[in-house]
Order: sequence, then C-alpha cells, then structure tokens
Amino acid sequence: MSRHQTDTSAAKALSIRNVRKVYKSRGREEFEAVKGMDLDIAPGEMISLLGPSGCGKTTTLRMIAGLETITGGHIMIGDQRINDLPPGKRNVGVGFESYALYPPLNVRENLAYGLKARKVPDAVEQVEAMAKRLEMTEILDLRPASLSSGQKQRVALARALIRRPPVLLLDEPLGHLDASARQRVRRELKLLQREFGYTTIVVTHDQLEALSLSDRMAVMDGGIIQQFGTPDEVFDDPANRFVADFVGEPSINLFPGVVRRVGGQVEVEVAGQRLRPGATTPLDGHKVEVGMRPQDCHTGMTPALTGTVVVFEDLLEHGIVRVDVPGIDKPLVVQTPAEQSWSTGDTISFSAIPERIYLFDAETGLRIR
Amino acid sequence: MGTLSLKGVTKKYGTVTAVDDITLDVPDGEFFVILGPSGAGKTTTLKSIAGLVDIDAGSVHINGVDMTLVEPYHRNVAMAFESYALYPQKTVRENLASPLKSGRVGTYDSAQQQQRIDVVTKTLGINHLLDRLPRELSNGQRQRTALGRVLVRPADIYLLDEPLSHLDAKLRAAMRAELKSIAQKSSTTTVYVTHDYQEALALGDRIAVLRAGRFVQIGTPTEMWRRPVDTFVARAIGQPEMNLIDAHVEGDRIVMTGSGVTFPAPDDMGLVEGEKLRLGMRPNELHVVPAGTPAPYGWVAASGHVLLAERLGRDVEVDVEVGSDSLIAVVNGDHAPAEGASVDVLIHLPNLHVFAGGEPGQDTPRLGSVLGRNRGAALPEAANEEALS
Repeated sequence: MSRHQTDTSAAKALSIRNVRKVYKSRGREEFEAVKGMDLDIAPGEMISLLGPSGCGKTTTLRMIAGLETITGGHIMIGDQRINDLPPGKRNVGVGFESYALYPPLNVRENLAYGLKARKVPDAVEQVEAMAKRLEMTEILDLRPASLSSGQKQRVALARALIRRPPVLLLDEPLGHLDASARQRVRRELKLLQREFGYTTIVVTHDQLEALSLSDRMAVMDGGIIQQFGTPDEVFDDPANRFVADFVGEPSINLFPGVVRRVGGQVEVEVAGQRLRPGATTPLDGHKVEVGMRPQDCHTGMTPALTGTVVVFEDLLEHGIVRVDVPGIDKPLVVQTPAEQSWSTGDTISFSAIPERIYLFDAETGLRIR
Repeated sequence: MGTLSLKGVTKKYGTVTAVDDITLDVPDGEFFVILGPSGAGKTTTLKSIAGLVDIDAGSVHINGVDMTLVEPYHRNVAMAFESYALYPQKTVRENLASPLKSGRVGTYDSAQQQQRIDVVTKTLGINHLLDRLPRELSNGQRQRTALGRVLVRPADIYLLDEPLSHLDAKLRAAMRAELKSIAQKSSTTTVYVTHDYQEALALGDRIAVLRAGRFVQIGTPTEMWRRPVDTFVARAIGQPEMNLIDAHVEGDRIVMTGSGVTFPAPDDMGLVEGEKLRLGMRPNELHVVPAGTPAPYGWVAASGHVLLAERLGRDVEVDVEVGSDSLIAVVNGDHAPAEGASVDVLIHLPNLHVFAGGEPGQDTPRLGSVLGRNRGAALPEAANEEALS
C-alpha cells in the first residue's frame, strides 16, 4: 500500500460559499453566470466541474484563480479567505492552456524556471522526471512557438504540476490529446495527484474525463450545481434528467411514460407497454420521463419493451442496436454483448433491472424515487 | 454502381511521400474504410482517387477505366470534405439542388431534381427541413444537409473524408448509425476516411489501416480485431488500447518478464530459447477476480494489486500492477474491485496475441496466438477460430 500513500500535509481544503458571478455591461441585461454555488473540497481531493459550455464551470475556476472578480460569497483556501488576494498570492497552481510560456526559452527552461527561482536543488532532474511521465521528453528542447496544441497542453499541465501547489486548477487538461495519449496522460495525472496530494479542480465538458479522473464530480448547468457526488453516485443515481442525460455514452434512453399503480406495485406505461421501475413513491397517473441506459438494457427480461431493430453496429467489444418501439418517436439504444448479432427488422425485447429504470418528473425533470 | 482499383499509387509533397505505393481493389457496393492517425495520408489517398492531386506514380481505375489522367469532374466520383460548406443564404432545398444545376454532373429538369432531393432528404431524415436556412438548423441537421449535397449527385463512387469529426460524441454516435442505415439501403460504393476505430468497425465492410502512407493491413473488422498483423494495427483498434507486455521464451514456456507468470509456449511458432516477445491482451477480454480464485482450463492467472480503478460509465477501467507490469482491464462497474485490492487477472489463452519483441514505441509483427493451457501447442489459425466460435 505504500505506493498509495498520499502526502496531503501541504494540500489545503477549498470551500466555496454562496459564490455568485454577475456580468454587467452597459446597454445589456445582467447575466448571472454562477448562481450561488456551494462546494467543499477536502485536502488532497480531486474534483471536477463538468457541464456544457456556458454552465459556469470555467467562470468558477477563474474566480478561484483570481482571474475574475467575485460578485458575492466567499472562497476559502484552508482558513484563509482569498476573495481579495491577487492571483499570485493565492498559492494556487494554474494549468490553463492559454497561460503564457516564455517564448525565448525552450520547454525545459520554461518548466525549470519557477523551480530555479525558488532555488530547488534538483530542478533539472524534476523536469526530466515529469516530462517522462507526461510523455513529452522529445519536446523538451523545442520553443513554445513550434509546439502543437496537444504539446502545449502537456507543457501547461507539467508546469502546473511541477510547482506542487497546495491547490491545483486545471482547465480542460486533456482536450487536445488524441484518444490513446489521453488515456495514458489521464492515468499519469491521476497517479501524480495521488502521490503529491494536490487538492485539484478539473474543469471539463467531457463526461468520460470527469468520471474517470474525479474523486467527486459536480455536474453543472445554468450556473447551478445539479449534482455533486462520486462518479458512482452520479452515474448510478442521477439527481435529475439533465445529469442522467449529460453523463454516460452512449446517452441514456429517455422516453415518456405514465405511472400505473397495480396493487402495491409501481409500473410505468410506455406507449401501451409496461416496465417495472425501482421507484416506490410516485402516484398513479403521474406523467414521467423514463430513463434506461443502453448499457443496462438486457434481453430476456419481463416485463420488457418490444420493438424492431433499425440498425445494428458490431463494435466487437460490444454491439449497439437501435430499436424502433411503436409510439416512441426516436429509436432506443441497446448495448448488446460481444459476439451477438442482430439484423435490421428483427424483433427485440429488452429491459433493465428495476433499480436501473429511472423516473423523472415530466415537468421539472427531477428524479422520482 | 462502381468498382475502384488503385495500382501502386504514390504521391509526394517535396521530399515527403504522403501516399506510398498503394494498391487496392474495392468491389461494387462495398463500404471501404481507411483508418489511420492524422498525417498518415488518408486525405491524400482520397484526393488521388478524386483527381484533386496529381499522383507521381501508379494508376486509378473506376469501373475498369483508367482515370489517372481524367479531370475530376469526369471521374464520376462525389467527395465530401471534412469541413462542409453550405450556402448560408440558400435553403436546404436550394443547397441540395445546386450540385444538380451546375451542369457538371449531367442535366436535370426540375422534376428530376426534386425527385433526387426527395429520395436523399428522406434517407437523411431532413425532408421536413427543406425550406429552412442553414442558420435555422441544428449542428446535426447541418451535417446531414452537407452530406445530402454529396449524396444527391449521382456518382459511381462516394468519397467521405471524416464526415463526423466535427460533431460531439453523442451526435457522432447517432449519425454513425444513420450512415450505417443509409449504406445498407443504398449499397453505393463508398470510401470513407476516419481516425475513429469505432466508426471503422461499425461502418466498414472492410477496413484498411494506414500508416505513413502505406496500408499495414486490409481486412474485415473481425479479422482486424482477431488477427492484427502487428502491434500498430492491434493498438489502432480498441480503446483502452491492447495491453502489450514484454515476455521471453524459457525452455518450453513463455514467461512474462515483469511478473514471472508463465504458460506453455506453442511449438509451431518457431520460438527459440531466450527470444524476446510481446504479449497482447485486450482490456475487455481480461477478467479481474479476487486473489486465489482458481483459473479455469484455458486461462492463466497473473496476481497483483489494483493501482487505479476509473469509471468509464457502466464499465470500470482497472489498472492492475502485476510484478513490474501494468495490466489494464475493463470490467463491469457492478463487479469492479477497489483500489489497493489484491486480485488475479485471468487471461484467456486463446485471446492472447503473441508479437515479436521490440523497443518501446517500435511496432512489431504478430507471430500467432496460443490455444489451451497444458496443450503446449498452438493450433493453426483456422482451427483456433473454430474453437473460439
């Protein structure tokens, strides 16, 4: 277990209390980008802010970094309120891609710059070691101008990490990397974070990145945190329709239904067919949206939805079947096990276990349990 | 209707050879996918077929006719580029009609134009949007309209260059399925270029993996998956990538160098004592079980502990340290081990790929596969396939 031990002595807790950001510009309506946000991050924890563009995630990160003024509320690092501190005094490490590198210095010198300024004795070795882990040894002698966007991203990440800040802020750290490099760099980032114990906030629009990197993740929309929890909680127990839809690939199937109480049992009627969800509280006649993830749909279950195969894609690791269910306006997606084959026109019946059939209020989108 | 043959096609830009002696036969109605990383020469290959670049050597044949020196408009191919352009001031209908009005691909009276537009827009599911302007469309609808502009032209061969690359992951998956539907219905000859292996697997009747201007392997999706010719193809298909673990031959056994895990060496591979190998294992074909679980017949167990367990969705990517090696497995989230747990990774020997040894970053050929613990011999590939099915 020694490899898992984390040195959190330097890491600081970060807390965000009722933080708001309102943009005002003359002649325009006020725009509230962040609407009273609360977040508590433990020392050494890695969390992500996940959401579509415009959800307020980057604004939040920029307020923590000091690159944006705070309209209301407090941001605390440890027991210090940082609202009014200049960025340089906040003791946060920032891995923003746009963060400027010194153009006349090569990558190695750029990375070593801060360490040398602090008279770190083994600066050169540290730079080499970090470069090796982030797969960027071959670019150490290049100048910033000749780097690709993916390489710049790694340099920004390395520079933020190498300072070992008590709080580390990363804005879309893996976005420009190709799929294969992304997987490896993601793994190294997670291991480095564990080893050095940085309290880390990652901003991303990529649900896979948030799920795989985070200890906990905050799913944001419209300047509000929709759900904050572990990846398991967010994926298996979504708080509302937005979270269920935003997290998961292929996307969750969402289709309208009406609750039917049959004896003590809750059933949901979907286009004349029935499903048995895990919810126990809804009343008879409640209009809902039903959510079933493609990965949770299995054949050979009763009750089940029956439809016709529109198209089957064999991805070898698994298959993807799109099913036309009469009365549902778009095809539903079912993920099938490897080595199973379906043809267009086949009849297929599928359902999920009750706990994996989610109900959302048709009006508010809130989860009904 | 169209067949395509490339014979020794080569294209150089200055001293760089973008396409290097490519030979290919695409039969009528085939959906042929070229898969490769950026810079591999995918787009140049398409442009060579379309006649948009002058090739330096070789020839291009369409329906058996040598088109090498024929102007693009007379080759009867339709090509869609990665960045689609629509006329912003024209409606969907007008955008689709414009290729038919150019006169370059034959003349159509308005009834004929209307008929072609009807067929294509119905297939693409945009027939209710004919009077909208591009700015009134969603991203996906715009993408479909742009694709419609290509498909509305009658052509012997359709050339599609990463048509889905600008869409977000969810829309891309939905459009991929639609393309598959369209391809099934229309059975036009298509050459499709992508860097996304899932698109290649889902759409391709056959796939060619392109590296540095050369085809490394051409085959059906199943062939590419089960029998990649080298580690490059093995890594190009599948995410997370296939695990590649150093191994060597010791007596009549193969030993994983980093962990000492061994199993009988097949005797038909011509392996010699001390020979360095790499073993390939696909993450979704590994099982992770509590330490000490007996390995069933045909499986070998590698003991280690879980370094990382990362959610991918329903699945969890488990990174297991086995000796000095790291094995990535993808397991169902409902049965995923915790980080730090002691586990055995079960490797199904028939799914194990044996590659020649090499330096990190160097790609090496596949030598074969192993079948059955205790048998001590690999069966010929054909028998192997049978045993698997």
